[in-house]
Amino acid sequence: MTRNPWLLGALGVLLGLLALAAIGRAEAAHRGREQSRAIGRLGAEIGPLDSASLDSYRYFSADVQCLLYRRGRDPFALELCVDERGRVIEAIDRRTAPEPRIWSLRDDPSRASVRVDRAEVNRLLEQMGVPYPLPPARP
Amino acid sequence: MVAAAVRAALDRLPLERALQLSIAALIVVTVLSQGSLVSWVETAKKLRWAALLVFAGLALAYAYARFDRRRVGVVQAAAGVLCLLALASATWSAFPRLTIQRAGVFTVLVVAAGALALGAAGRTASMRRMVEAIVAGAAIVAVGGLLVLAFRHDRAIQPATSVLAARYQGLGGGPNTAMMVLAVATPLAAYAMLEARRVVARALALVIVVLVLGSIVASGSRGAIVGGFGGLLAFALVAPATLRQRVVAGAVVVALLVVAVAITRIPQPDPAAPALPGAQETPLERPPGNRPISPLEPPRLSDDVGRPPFGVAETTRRPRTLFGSSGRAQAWEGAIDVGAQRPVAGYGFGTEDHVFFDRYAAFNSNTPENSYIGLFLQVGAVGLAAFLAFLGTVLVRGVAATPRLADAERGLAAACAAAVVAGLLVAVFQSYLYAVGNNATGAVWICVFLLAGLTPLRKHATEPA
Repeated sequence: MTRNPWLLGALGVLLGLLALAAIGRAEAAHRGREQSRAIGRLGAEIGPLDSASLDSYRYFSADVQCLLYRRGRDPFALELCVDERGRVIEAIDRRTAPEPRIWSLRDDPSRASVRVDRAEVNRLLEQMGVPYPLPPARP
Repeated sequence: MVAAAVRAALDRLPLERALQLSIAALIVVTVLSQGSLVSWVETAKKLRWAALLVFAGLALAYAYARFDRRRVGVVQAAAGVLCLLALASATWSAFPRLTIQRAGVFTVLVVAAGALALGAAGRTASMRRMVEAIVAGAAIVAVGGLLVLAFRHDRAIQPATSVLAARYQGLGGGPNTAMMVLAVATPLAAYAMLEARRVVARALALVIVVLVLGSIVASGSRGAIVGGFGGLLAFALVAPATLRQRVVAGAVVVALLVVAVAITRIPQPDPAAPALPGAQETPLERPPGNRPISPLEPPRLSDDVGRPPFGVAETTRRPRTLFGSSGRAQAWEGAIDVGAQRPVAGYGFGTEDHVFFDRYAAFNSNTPENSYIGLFLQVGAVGLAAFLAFLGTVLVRGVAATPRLADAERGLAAACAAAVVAGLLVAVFQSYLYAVGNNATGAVWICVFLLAGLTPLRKHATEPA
């Protein structure tokens, strides 16, 4: 059994970092599930992507576009943002403005588990006359 | 034998002069890389990494030439743990490559600053030269600002708007940019002025103090004012040997602060001026599709939080007041909420600007503009606690040990401690303590290690100044 305090310290740091890595990965996974669950709930509330309440779009970037749905007088009340793979990476509920509820995996899209048909998103965006190029709909 | 020959050769080189130049160059180049002279920005962005590498190489050579194993201790080990934590966070980061890059660069800076302090340890005169190098860098930035004011007035001044007064930005890309390093350098410049032995040197240092403080006041940067004057106050309270001197020096600094704040309130917004260009978004041209859509544009992405509900007009004026947060309170709350989704370990070092999104109507930045919240976002509560424990321990131990030091060392230690205080205060207003590309980061970490070197746990022999 060593009594070298430097060696013991190094061992402690190593174990601490290993534990932190495990916690960090678990936190990332947990957040992915939580955000996806909330995004899924809003998606369910919206219903089909081409519902009659679809009122506008937002061209966020070449890879990510958003569909906005009307609730009451607000044409932008609910929003779903979809990436090039059809993953719903952000959902916004503006009915609580000025404090909208936002669920986002924009920074970690690989953990987004809610998916939609990207080809249908493209079709809807084209119907709304989006003037910019859209990503190819990949399976 | 070879090692001895290499050390002898390094000893003959004017390493300290080269190090001084590299420190000043690093400060100037990092300011230019975020500067008001747009045509210089891209070149400076490339040069700042070269400047960092040169500084690191020289610092390592300096430490090697003067290496004393007994001076390596807990501070260096603790700094190593911070770097390891930053690098290890790549394993849970959403952007592992980015995390490794930024943690790697941060490690280079910490190793360089640590090596610099190890090389200078025990030599008060050498440590003072490093402090003078930071002051020289800040002086060049301040003088450069005046040159921009003289020859490119439009670049040196941020014009007034209907809610904001005109603000001086000098060489920086915004009124808060260059002022960060000037704030950190303020107590160091005051130290240089008080320690100068020749009249000419003292007069030059006085001019630098006036230039630095004048630039900060003209910018109206509240973070720099709090940091600069907070650092000066810390210097006034720690450096003097007697209580009476401390009280007098502290009162002088507080009086200066009151005058400075009063001056910042003189410029007024221009009611006839337009709003900031960034406050309006170019309307999207919408070619008609075959599906009817809202004739209105969706709200700006950066205005989601704090914007009134649809159909309610925004009538709140948001003038910049002395104690207003410029939207930071809103952004801080949002950033803490995002951080709380991964509270223990965070999103990974260096990811702050990738996980924080400006959704706030009264805020305009791609970071939350608070280094502590930034650390919480990046490395979670554990990382934030580790950084605070390290910086707090060095600072508290340094301040506690300063009164027991000899006169020459006491002033220097007080100046370094005050610069760290200034840096920690600026960190409340800006995300930068861990961002190596920022102009103030290097100066703060150099002062941290110099302070630790001046106030070691074990007493070592010290060469006189």
